[in-house]
Amino acid sequence: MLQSDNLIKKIFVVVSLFLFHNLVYGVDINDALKYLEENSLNIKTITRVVDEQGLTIWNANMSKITISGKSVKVKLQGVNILVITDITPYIRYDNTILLVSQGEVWIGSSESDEMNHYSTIKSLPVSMGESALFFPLGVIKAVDRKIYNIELEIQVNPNNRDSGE
Amino acid sequence: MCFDGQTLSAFLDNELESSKYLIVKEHLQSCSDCQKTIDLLQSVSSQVKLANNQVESFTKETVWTRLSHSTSPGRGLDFWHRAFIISPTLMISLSFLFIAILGASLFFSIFNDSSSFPFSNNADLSFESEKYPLEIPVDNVEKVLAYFNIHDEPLEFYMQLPGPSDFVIQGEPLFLKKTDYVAER
Amino acid sequence: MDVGEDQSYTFKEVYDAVFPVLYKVVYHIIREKTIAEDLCQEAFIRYYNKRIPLPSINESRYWLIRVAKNLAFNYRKRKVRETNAVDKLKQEGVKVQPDTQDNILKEETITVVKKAVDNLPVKYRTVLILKEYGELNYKEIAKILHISENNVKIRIYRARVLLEKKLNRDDLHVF
Repeated sequence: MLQSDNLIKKIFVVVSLFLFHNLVYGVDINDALKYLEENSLNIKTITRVVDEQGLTIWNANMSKITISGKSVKVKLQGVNILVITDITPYIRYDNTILLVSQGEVWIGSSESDEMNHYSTIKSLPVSMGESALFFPLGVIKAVDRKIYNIELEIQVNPNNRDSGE
Repeated sequence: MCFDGQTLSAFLDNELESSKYLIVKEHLQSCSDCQKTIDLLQSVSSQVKLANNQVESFTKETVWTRLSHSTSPGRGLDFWHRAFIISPTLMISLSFLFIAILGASLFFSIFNDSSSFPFSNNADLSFESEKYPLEIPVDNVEKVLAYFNIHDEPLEFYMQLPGPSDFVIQGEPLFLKKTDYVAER
Repeated sequence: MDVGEDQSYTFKEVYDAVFPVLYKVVYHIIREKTIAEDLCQEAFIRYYNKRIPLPSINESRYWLIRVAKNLAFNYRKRKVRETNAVDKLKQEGVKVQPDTQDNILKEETITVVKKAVDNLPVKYRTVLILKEYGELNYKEIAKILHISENNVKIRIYRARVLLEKKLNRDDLHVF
């Protein structure tokens, strides 16, 4: 009996919070949020650590919903490195995307006591669903020793529930 | 229970879900107020439609003819044909000039960022949304702006990279389409 | 006329499918036949020169209407600065046939309606033209204008309300 009482209480609290939220903030906010949601974009990134042979030894996926002009940050922390990539999609009237990638790299050596800071900004026009690759550290040139590199694959899609026409 | 004007307007346009459509239709049979609204909206719609013009098929043909002239490849051929007849030397020297410019820009691009191809369109890299902004329907601007201000959080994703080896800067950062990168390799 | 998802379609097919609605929409924004032809031509030229092809005739239709609508409104903005819009309407003129009373009243109604639609705020005018002349449904209008269907519904309703106020100020023959 006590358990079902608690459950009812929980449901009551959730429902009244929801109603309260609606009452306080009103229909306006919900309408605005719903509108933004219908115009939002889904940014998917796949971060890969790749060796000099081109083999992926590690990867991590991320997906975030944003709107045109609002950036998404990917922070990658390693033993000697911090890579911060700021990705901003801009949707154009013909439904193509201008992708702007700003990269910051804090890098040092575990042996020395020095640290460098690099920064870059790049932009690239892409279509919806087309993959772009961002190499914050550049691309590997020498293949005679073991080196690891970081690459970010970025894809922008409209945030629609219905995929049909 | 009466319906709001927007719903009635959508009913008129046949844009309601079938279940809702039936509910409204039934309600109209007994509600004179809603029926009056529908009549008013219908009258406005009919008056607007009165000013509709028929697109003469002749207009369509006219514009198509003009279009075919400005976009057909034949036109390009005509140009070369004429130039050759008028002055072969001019055409040859123009071609050499063109090749020289192309060669020079390729030469310089080797020293610059390898991702910039000659003749790249810089207009592709700019953006203004003022022509096509997001138009958000609200009644109380101040309230919504205050809400957005409070709830504006940065969208971040944090991940730890695998150790133990040090990462090293390999070269200039690169940003390109995956298809272009794969092709290069 | 829903043409569905096609993998390959020709420029002529797009032209045939889209020109009628495009011309109607542009004409009702600027009300000049010759310029409407020019702007439609311009829109199709831009479409022809697009580097990235669109996946279907429907997507092409939305793209073309979007571009043509913007061209038309930009033209109108420039033109309104130059000439008096009301005078332009009188010049454009509908031919008045000197016969029945009904016909004369109808022509007058058309002129008044055109003027009322012209004076609507741009965002209401746009959806109204797309709906009543372009004969597009809410979903299509939403895709063209990059707004939600709900927003389309609200704007069309508000446009009609505003028009009703303007039109009922004058004594009109209601059909």
